Amino acid sequence: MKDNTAQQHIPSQFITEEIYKRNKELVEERRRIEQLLLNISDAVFVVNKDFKITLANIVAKNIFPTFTITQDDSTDIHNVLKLINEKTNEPIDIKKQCFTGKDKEILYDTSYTDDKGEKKYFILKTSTIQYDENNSECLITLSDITKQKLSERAKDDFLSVAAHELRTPLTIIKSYLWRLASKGSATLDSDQKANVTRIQSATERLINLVNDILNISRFEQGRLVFEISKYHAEEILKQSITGLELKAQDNNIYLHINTSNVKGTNIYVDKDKLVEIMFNIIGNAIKFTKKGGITVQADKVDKDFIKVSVIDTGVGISKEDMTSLFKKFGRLDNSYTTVAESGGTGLGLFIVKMYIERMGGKIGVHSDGVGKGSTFWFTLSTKPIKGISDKSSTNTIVPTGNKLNAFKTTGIISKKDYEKSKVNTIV
Amino acid sequence: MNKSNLETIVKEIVQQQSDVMGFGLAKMIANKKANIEFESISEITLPDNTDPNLVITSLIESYQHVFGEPSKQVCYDVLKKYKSEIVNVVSEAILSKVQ
Repeated sequence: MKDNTAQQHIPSQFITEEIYKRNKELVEERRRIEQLLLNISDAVFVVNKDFKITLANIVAKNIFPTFTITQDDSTDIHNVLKLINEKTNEPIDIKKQCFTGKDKEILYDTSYTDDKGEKKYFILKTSTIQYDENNSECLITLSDITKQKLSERAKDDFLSVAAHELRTPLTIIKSYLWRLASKGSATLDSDQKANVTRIQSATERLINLVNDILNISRFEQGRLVFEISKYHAEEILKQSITGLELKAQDNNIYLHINTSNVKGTNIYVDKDKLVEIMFNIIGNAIKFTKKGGITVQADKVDKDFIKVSVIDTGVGISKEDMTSLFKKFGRLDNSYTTVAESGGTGLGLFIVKMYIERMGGKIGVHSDGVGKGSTFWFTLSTKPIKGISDKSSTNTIVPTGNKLNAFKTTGIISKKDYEKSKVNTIV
Repeated sequence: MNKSNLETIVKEIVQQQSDVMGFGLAKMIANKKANIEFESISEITLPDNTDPNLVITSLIESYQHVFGEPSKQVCYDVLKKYKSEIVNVVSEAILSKVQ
């Protein structure tokens, strides 16, 4: 038998040197990573499964100066990261962002107020890092967006002030136009009457646009009040389309509503906002449907929501247009509707989406394509809505001009309707 | 070279070795082999009139004796940062490795 003893022996000095070399490489790698971490411009925390901070970079320590990483990793992230969700105005529970089973979680609107009362805004991102079956950590990064946020606020404030200042002269223009249309109608020739109608229509659109901008601005500043109450779904849905049946009739199309599937169900909504939502969606459907009609269908989705679908036989929507529908000033391509027909402020669906999401629901649209009709749908909660306090305020909100559209058909409105609209536009 | 500079160099060599092999081992080698007594690296103090060349050479050789060439290189990497301080102090052999 061959003696392999000499071949099997590895000098201990060699082993020691190799171990030393390996350790040295690991130390250098760790230093490299630490330098990279140090130089990231976002605040970075790493927490273990007990939510104790195991690592933090300089930016994190600068933003949250009161904490220090202890040798025994005993600083709880919850004692350091006291963030607020700007959308719901509620504290963020980091437990719900980390180790969720998903690779990444992102929260776009979070804020932190320091000891001096200074507010900072962040995008919060978390990633779970699974080292092996039993070991994982969560990487938490905070991207500081305070500058952008403040700049947006300044822009919104300016817009709000500008829109507010526009309303008075617009209301004056509208009232004198009405006077011209009603009192001067006997003396105006047909061309002049048509011109007055066009000016009234344009003024109406301008007023609607200003009101829409103001409402969006108030919503984004958190100043829009939602008065949520419990309603019978069947009843409130039928009430919310009052006035629209007439408009549909005037356009020689049908408007049907089917609420039998939600009989006995209660929903939690702001009634006025629901009316605006219906006026917007059904108003659009009427605008873009030349024959056939519109069906409003209400169904239960699950124990928490009902779904309201507005199904029309109108011009339909292409895939490309669908992506911009709910954005500010997103509107259909005018190639298959006249400019006058498409009309609107371009903000209606954005506001509708804003309202629905704020009331805990979702919104969407489906269409098989141009010429094949479309279905707009949204969900409404059957449970009380978290994060919205049920209070009213003397700081009443101007309704959008959509209610005016319900009264206006030909552009020359009756004095009675005008008086109603005057109340709605002057604050 | 003044005592303070020498102590800085010694502390840094021990610290670098400690990062790789652990504080316990780095301290033991420095204590037993290079006769540098301390409880924590920040407390390292050398007697007055210590021969800088002797202490630096002793430290390098001590670590090399246990961990070989790689640990010697770690010592040289530290000395490279203090070239101007050690130029008239250490042996040519060491100086040639840190140029």
